[in-house]
Amino acid sequence: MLLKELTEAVGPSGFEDEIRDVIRTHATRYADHIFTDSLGSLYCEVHGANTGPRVMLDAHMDEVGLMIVRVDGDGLLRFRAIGGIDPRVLLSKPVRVGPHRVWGVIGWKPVHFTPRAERSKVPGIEDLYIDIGARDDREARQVVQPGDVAVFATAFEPFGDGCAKAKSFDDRVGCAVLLEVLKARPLLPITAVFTVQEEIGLRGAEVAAKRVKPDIAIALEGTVCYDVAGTPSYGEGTKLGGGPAFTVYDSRTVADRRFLDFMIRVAEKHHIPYQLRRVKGGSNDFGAIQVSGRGVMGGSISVPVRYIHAPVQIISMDDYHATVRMVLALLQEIAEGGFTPPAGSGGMKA
Amino acid sequence: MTNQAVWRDSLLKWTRFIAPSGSEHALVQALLQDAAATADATWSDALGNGYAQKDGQGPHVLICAPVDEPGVMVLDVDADGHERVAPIGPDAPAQWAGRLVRFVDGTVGLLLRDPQAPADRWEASQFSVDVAAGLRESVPQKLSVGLAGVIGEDAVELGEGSIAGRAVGPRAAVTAALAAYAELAQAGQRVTLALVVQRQTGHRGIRTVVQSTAADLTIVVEPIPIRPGGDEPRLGGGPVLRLRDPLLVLPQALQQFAERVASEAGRRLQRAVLTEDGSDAGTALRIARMPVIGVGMPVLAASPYAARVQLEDVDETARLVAVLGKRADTLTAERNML
Repeated sequence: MLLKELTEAVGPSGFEDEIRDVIRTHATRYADHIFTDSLGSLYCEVHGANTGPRVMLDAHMDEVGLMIVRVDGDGLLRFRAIGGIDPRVLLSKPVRVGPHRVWGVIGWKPVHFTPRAERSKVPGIEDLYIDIGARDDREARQVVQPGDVAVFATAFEPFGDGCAKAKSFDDRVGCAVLLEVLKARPLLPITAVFTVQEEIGLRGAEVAAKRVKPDIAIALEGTVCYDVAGTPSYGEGTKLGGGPAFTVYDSRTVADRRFLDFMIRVAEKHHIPYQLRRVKGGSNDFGAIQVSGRGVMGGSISVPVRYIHAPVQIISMDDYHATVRMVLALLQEIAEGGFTPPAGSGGMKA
Repeated sequence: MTNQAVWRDSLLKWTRFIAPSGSEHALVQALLQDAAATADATWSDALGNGYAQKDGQGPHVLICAPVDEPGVMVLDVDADGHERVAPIGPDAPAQWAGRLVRFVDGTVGLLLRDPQAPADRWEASQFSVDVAAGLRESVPQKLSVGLAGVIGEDAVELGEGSIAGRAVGPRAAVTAALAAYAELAQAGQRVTLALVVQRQTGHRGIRTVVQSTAADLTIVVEPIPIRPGGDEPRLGGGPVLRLRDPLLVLPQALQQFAERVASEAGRRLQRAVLTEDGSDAGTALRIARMPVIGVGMPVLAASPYAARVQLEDVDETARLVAVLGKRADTLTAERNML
């Protein structure tokens, strides 16, 4: 299954080789031309039967992870986060470490040894370590070196009422949507870009947008879910099972109302459920793409992900399938002239 | 260039527009209409920046000025028809209680703070906007989410030559930029005016402006906050040269050029070193492959939503920007030092 293959592949920011190979294997069947840039993003071009606006579809293939920074004398590995990880979600979680994917467990002293005054405090990431079962640093260094990375060891599994759990739905769910769209061979000329290093500053997308110079761009993402305990009742959008989420506002984007309204019209015309994403923190690749070159028209479509950036994340398969339908519907409407980017967008001369 | 009454009327006219970041379209179109009289072409880019361009002689001068202002955006509508909002730009909810919000669609609401909210902690999530809607059902929720508005009082003249109120800082800057552009265009100089969006939300618009416009000299006119009672820069002291801010270190050669031209033309020019206020000029300098000078409009800011400017500063800034543009051909000597 595509989602299983994508979410179980390794690929923290800057270490996307394995996931890129997985995606390339699939994309080769559907794309007319495939190449990478020097940063590592994967470009898949579909020439399309129609002429029309040049559309860039973006999904980032990197994931949050951990980097080993030191091997202690007792063989325990000290690490730092790659991307935004809350240390509270790390305790006692299994991980796969280094090029040999050795098993590890994120350790912390048990409650028996924790003074009462410390028990209510959250350990910092610098307090934690990864235990790979090595007897000492010499043995540990035979399989792991500082600079190696670790990822959560979570298998993809469907469960519950149409849900699935895995690591890295952010943004392997976007990658899966994008591969499904490529498979459908849209009529428009498309450049699908599987970008690198989104989790550490939208870096791959910045380079990709300058290279593609799209007339329209759409970022496909996994995004936070607000339907969890402890969030304000009025929420900020995005519920599991509520359909694809269109960005209105985040820390890097104020949506262009013209494209947002177009997405809403298309969703309603094609009877696709949708919701509006508005978050004060967080962003996605579209934040970098929109300010590239002459500025780029477009937006982002997100699949809601519960427990994002945590070892186990949850999506609704209905949301996933609806997002695929939504992107295909948008491309169809654009191909039929339903949306014309303004002069001056992307590579278009004003 | 023009007299004080004309500056006042012009500035007050532009402050009447409601243009929070991301919702600048109406203001940009109105400004472009004004600039069109002296332009060969006007257009907007995908992000919403507006451009007026005049072909002519000499170095190509790009004059940039921000058009947006801070505000709020509707996140949700609760069961009582109250709208929950998030800040656009500065996060200053301590300034919100009891103030009116004017939305871009003409709706006006009153900012209410949750009476249970702690007195010592102010957050946007404690506020809702009462638009007298009654219940949620009477507010078209999906249309309201994403609607943006501004906080504060419309600008008024506070005595001769002094204008105070909402958005006077950015509108004073764009008023001066528009006048300088017109003077250069009428003088036959090759000049582009860029009306820059989304400064308040992280200097976004300026990025596409400088990536899409090849200029020999870029002058960014933007508000510069001054302290009451400070020595320099001061309100009424004329335009301010940004030497340093969190996003900018002005190359010495450009400082020398600006100060030489101002001195030769008999124009006032203050200096500023800022530790807190990042600038479009600094963002442009990182991206542009050509010289960028940041000219500040002195603004006495009472809060992100209210400030005071002096019309003589608008006049002096317009004159300085025009003379910098006219003397751009003499930048050669300093550019060799860059």
